[in-house]
Amino acid sequence: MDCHVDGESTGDRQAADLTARLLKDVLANVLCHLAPRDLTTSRCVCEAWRAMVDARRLLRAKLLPLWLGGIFINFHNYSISELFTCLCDHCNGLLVIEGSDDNSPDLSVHYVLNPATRWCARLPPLSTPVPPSAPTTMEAKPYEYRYDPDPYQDIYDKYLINDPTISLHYKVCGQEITTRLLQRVSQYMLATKVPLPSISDSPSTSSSSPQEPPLEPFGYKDSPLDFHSPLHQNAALTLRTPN
Amino acid sequence: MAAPESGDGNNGAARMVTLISSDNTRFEVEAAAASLSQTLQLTILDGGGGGGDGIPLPNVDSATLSKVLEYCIKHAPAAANGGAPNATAVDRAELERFDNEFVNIDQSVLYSLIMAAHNLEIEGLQSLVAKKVADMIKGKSPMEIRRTLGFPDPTPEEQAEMNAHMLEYGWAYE
Repeated sequence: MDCHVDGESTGDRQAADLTARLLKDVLANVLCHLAPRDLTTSRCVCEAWRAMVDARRLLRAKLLPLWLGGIFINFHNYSISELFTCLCDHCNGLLVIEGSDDNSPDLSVHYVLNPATRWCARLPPLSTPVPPSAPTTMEAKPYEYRYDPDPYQDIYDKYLINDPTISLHYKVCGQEITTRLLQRVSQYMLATKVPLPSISDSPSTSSSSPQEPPLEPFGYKDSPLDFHSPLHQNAALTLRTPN
Repeated sequence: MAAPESGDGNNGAARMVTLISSDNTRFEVEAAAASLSQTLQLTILDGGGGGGDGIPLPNVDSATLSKVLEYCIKHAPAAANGGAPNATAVDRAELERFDNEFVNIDQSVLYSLIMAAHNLEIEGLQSLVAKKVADMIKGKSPMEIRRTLGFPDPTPEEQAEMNAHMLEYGWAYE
């Protein structure tokens, strides 16, 4: 596949210097004209290009859908597509799915994955306590999870909070009690200065400070977070029904 | 020979400026054409480059500069109109034809050109050449891209890494 004609090598060496001479900005300017498929190919060309595509998030901008209605699997020789049913939640292109462990098939395991980049992270076992230092040590990593230890977590729905336009970090919440999830959401909203969606009859919002931005109904259109999906509407409904 | 009038936005037609390439060749062009370069525009607005002074461009050689100026001269009238809607379809088609032919050049010239366009901040030329290089990449395998752009042969480690990444992105070649 890569047999080279001998005479080419000297010319190659000289031209390689020319490619390397291109400033990063110039190379990025070239690569951003490529379609996602060609960008993935470019990621394979060499380390420098791969670093460039990743660092400038060229693929992210093109491949991350901001809204996901659902995933269908199309099997060969099957006339009917199947809905990918084990989707627990999704948010701005990341999915939380429920799967199983290869070693112990009975154990239910949750994964967070990005189908666009084939990135996948397994959420820690449900009963594993998060070490106290975890939040700070994980700060530097591109993806961060926060998972509070809770023996009943597996019966809760999983909610994913992720906004790639603000941060590479995402958060997964198990819906434990309504107020707790609401606190997480509102903390996140406040931390990222996103207008807080209104959840009117919850005790937590009533305690919120008066200088907060005006409350908007769930489904607030300009919010970078995606609250339009049915799953989030479910979340909203659950939130409105105190246990 | 440079007209003394300056400062007025509408003086492009008469005013000439001198640009000096890295190998000391002098190019005299209309200020309007040279002003396509954001870098030069400020100097020219300040009244520089006229008379015997000239603006030195130590990063651009004469071959590249003449190519750059060819582009600027062709595009200056359209830019002066601000890409106005009164530009006829014929004009636009003519510019497009010119652009296509303009980038149909040797790769090393293309690289020099893209660097010059970057240094001089000529937006249209930057994206024109970037698109051309992107076209050279489109639809090719990583190995073909390396060959097209003249990378050296990959070392065994690089080759292994390439294969691994291509495996990961197998769907891109289906």
